[in-house]
Amino acid sequence: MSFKGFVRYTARRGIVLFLVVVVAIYITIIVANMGGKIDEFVKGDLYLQIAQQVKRDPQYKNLPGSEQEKIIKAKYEQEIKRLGLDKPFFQRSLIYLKDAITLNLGRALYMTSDSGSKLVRNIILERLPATVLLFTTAMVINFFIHLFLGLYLSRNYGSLFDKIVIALAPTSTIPGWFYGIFLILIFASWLHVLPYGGLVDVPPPTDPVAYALSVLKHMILPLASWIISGFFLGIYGTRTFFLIFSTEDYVEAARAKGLPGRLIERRYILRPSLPPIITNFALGLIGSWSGAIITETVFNWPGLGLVTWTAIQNFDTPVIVGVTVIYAYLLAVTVFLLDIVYGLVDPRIKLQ
Amino acid sequence: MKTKLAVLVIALLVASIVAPLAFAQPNAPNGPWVDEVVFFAEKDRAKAVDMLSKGDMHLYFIDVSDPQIFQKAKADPNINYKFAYGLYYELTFNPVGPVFKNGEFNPFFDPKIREAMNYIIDRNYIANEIMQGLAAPMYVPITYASVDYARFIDVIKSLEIKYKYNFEKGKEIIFKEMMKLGAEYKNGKWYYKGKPVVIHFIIRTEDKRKEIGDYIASQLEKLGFTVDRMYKTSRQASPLWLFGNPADGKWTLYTGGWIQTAISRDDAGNFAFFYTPLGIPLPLWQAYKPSPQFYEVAKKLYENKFNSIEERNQLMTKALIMALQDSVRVWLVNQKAPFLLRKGVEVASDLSGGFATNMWSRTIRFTGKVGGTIKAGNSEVLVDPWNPVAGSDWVYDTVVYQATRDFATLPNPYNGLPVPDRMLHATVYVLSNYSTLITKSSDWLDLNFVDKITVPSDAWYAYDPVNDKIITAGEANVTEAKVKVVVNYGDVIGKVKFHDGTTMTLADWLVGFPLTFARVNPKSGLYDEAAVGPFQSWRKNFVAWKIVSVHPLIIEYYINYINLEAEFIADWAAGYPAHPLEMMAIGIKADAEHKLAFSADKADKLKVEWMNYIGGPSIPVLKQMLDEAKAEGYIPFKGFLGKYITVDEVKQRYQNLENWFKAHGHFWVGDGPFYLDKVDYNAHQAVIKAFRQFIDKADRFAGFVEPMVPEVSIKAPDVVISGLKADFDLSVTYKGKPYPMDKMWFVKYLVFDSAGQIVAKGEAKAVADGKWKIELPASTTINFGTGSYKLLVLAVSKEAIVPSQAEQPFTVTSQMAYIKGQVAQIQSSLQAKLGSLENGITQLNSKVSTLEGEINAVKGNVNIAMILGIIGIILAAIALAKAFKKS
Repeated sequence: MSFKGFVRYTARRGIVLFLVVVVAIYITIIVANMGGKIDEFVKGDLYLQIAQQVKRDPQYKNLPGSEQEKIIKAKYEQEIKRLGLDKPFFQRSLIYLKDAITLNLGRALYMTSDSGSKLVRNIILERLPATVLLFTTAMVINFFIHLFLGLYLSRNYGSLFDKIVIALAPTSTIPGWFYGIFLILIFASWLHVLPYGGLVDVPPPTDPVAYALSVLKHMILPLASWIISGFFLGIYGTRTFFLIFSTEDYVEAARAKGLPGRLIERRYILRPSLPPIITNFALGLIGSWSGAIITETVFNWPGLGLVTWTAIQNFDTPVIVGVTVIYAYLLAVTVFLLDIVYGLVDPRIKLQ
Repeated sequence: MKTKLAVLVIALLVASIVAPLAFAQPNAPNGPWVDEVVFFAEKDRAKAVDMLSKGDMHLYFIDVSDPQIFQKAKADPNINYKFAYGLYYELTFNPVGPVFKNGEFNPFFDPKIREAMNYIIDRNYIANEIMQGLAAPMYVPITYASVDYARFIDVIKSLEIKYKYNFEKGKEIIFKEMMKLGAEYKNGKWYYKGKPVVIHFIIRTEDKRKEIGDYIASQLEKLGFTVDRMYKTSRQASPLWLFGNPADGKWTLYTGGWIQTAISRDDAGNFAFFYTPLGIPLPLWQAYKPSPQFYEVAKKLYENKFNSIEERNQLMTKALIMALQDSVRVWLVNQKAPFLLRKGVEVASDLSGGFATNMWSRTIRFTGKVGGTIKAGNSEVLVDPWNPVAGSDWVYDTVVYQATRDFATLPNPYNGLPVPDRMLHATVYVLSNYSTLITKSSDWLDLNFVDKITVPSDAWYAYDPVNDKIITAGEANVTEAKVKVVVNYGDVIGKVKFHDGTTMTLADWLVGFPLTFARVNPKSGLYDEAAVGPFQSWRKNFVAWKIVSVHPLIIEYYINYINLEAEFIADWAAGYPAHPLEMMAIGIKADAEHKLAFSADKADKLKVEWMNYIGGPSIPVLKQMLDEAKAEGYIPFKGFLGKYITVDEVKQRYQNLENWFKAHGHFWVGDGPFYLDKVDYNAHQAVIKAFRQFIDKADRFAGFVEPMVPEVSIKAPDVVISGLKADFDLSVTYKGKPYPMDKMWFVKYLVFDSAGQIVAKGEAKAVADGKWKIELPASTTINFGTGSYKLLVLAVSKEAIVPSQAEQPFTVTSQMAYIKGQVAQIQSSLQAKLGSLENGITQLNSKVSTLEGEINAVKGNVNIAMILGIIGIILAAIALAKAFKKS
């Protein structure tokens, strides 16, 4: 492929991916708002909430009923205006879409960030470090454990360890948070050696080193739960993957040529298997940034999963769109880059 | 020996000094008992119970209402619990009918069928089986933690008896009414015009209402209705029942739930709110058609249109009865929500809201100790921005920041009345036409009724933000008010310290007044549309104020606010500065310059951050404001406040605030018993520490740790004679000691016959502390037939409004039966005596016979003795004769 062709290909690929992102975001907006039906729910809740607030407030309690009604209506209309619910849903959906595409994440309707900011950007960014710290670490640890032990088993196919891994692979169908509950019961509740959850000790240590160590201590159980959950199936999957690659014709041919085993492994097995491994890694990395709702709940970990969940619960569309758009863009860029990376690492894919 | 004696004396001396110290209660320090409280987030109730048990948590601010989890906590020796009664469930009926727009029949448009539903639902089953004891049956729209519940306890109890579960009775009424309405009952099902009568029942799924809904649905099915169970969450249900038109017939029944976060002292408005179109201008409420009599009563209560407390009491009694006859809502249960704490920890708990009361920070301690760190769990910590004007009102935030503030009054967690905090005394003057309406029950307050209240012309009426000047009452032509409240705050000026070291001056008291007016003036940079509504309502009630003395600080408030209890009038009027001027000033500057906004509404409108004094993107902006304010000696509303603080003084205050910021990383400065030490937004933790320069000692509110709920026991006579006076002695105690008479509100009683009907009721008389007497007069007992009865005693103290009750069965007999009984008793007694006399005579006879025998025996002995004597004499005579012969 000529440079011009490469540019044309990447531009075409880029446009297609962008359109996919646009469609995905708009679908998210429609789904998150149930096609505008959410407005009714929100308005209902809002009205009852304001009415109860006014009725209970000692400041208004002695006012005549008609005065109270006026106050309720005024407050309600003010709030409707603030939330933008006075505009038709279709119009709002296009505003959401435009803001999302231009990465103008705007302001949340109800939620605030941990530090009290109403900017969606802050709501997401303030939770990202804790999310990355736990879930990306878990993902990276899992990735390498699976890769190395998978490779080891593919070499020691049929060994006792191999048989154990195959036998225990179904245990990975149990999600990490489920193991988490048992780990909490054993190490926090029973042995009382590790914390029940949270990010740091109560009260938080004042010394930065002690603080960091405390965070690490709080990571042990959630990390362990994810590692245990993915352990056997992950290794089994990688091991099988390598076994499939090691029976390809060109590997057999290399063996027939009498090439050394290490060379065959590195050049004929590992290299062609890299694209799917990198894809897995890249997608896993992005996936880890969205957090995990139940694990975060079980371990009381302040991650992005809970932010997304709260946004869905509260129908806070800007936050839902914000989380989705970041994920969609990251995914599109990753896919785009992977297309290029494949050509570099896989000897079977060449520029023409 | 002397040395040993000396050692012994010294040892005894030391022991005499040390022993009292060892066993003495520690001296109360200034500020709180404990050194530190750390708030952290823990949503999982089960985990919280485990943490409480292990000592990883001392106090949990969220109720643990899951029966299984609570049972575990209850069984744990390390955990204590306290109950609150704020949440209650009901059954909302769609009142439209007899047919909806879609042609479906709605049986519940008929009040008689709705009323009969009270018999169909077994509230005890819901309370004891579904909620496993964590609820109490509820029949009226007033919760257990309300003063009106206690006040009308006798009426409520009689209604509870009248409407107690009786499925057959309810069925009979419903069947009769259904037939009357033209419905047909075939093969166990109801039909209307050939179609099954379907009840579209919205059942909420988030809590126990799912099981409650299922139970009620099955009861309805037993009656022959076809039930369409519509399981929905709050959000899914509200467009139907709340916003939808009830005439559309999309729903028939809904499992409603309501919450009350503080003890209510006036529930008169509940009838209009829950049963009439006056409640909320929404389709459901507008569909309510109460009887004209009920509407009139409810409206009068809603608008406080009664001339005396007696009239109110009569209206309330009528309303309670009519509410059950209307039954557009059938009340189900009042939840008993347990709040948990670790044993060895003491804290006040509000009867409605649990630990989330301002009194918690004034009472918390480790039993018998000073100091220590309390680890307090909550569902959330640090939710929304904190600012002193329009910041977060989440209870998760308020429980923390209210501990850093001081107040004019604090709410009594057990009776809902204001308790004076910085307000030492108040005198309330009210126009005399309210004299039959307004009462007082506290000794820190005087209540006077006067013919006229004149507002002094120099009292402050308003502030003009454009010209930066005060408008006096004279300038505003305001001359009269309905109420005058004179509050004495004591010697606080120049004495009270804020957390940053600033000493309180009048400037701290005054800054809020111009701010209030500036926020509602569109020409001011501080203008906030959201503040206008609340301001208008406040303005209607607030007339003017005047500082009449600085040492002590005495302020006169002229207002139009009326409440049935003078304590609340004083509470409404009085204020207290919780934050120093310098802290307020940097926020005012940021808001006025549109760099931050106090309220969320204004922040959204201006697209700036909602002001947060404790963290986030607001902090650099506030720091910039502080630097600028310090450099220029900024005094907000200088035309007014400039008379109360100099530039040098304000600069010193900004320096104090800067030092505070350097030490703690935030700008939140208060004057409460705790100060905010640090916040960790990543970990969602807030640390508050003891402020040892606080004006009060830790034991000032020690009496509020536990509610003084009285315990009652009854001593009944063996038998009550119809037509004769009967006395019952009552013992009213608290922890075994007599309950002081002056602290009791009342002791009421009800007498039930064997059929459960009330045959007598009244109030007991106080005899002495802890001793009360019920005197049933002859005119009452004469109406009692012979049989068994039950006396129910309900005691309510002024200190804690939770009613205590005791029951005692007794027997009533007629006078004739009594006399017959007495005669029979005498007869049997006489007979018994005669019998015993006979026995005595018989015994005497036998004793005499025995004596005769004994005498006979003695006689024989005497004869023998005589014979022997004679023989002896003869032998002696012979011996003598022989002797004389020899000589």
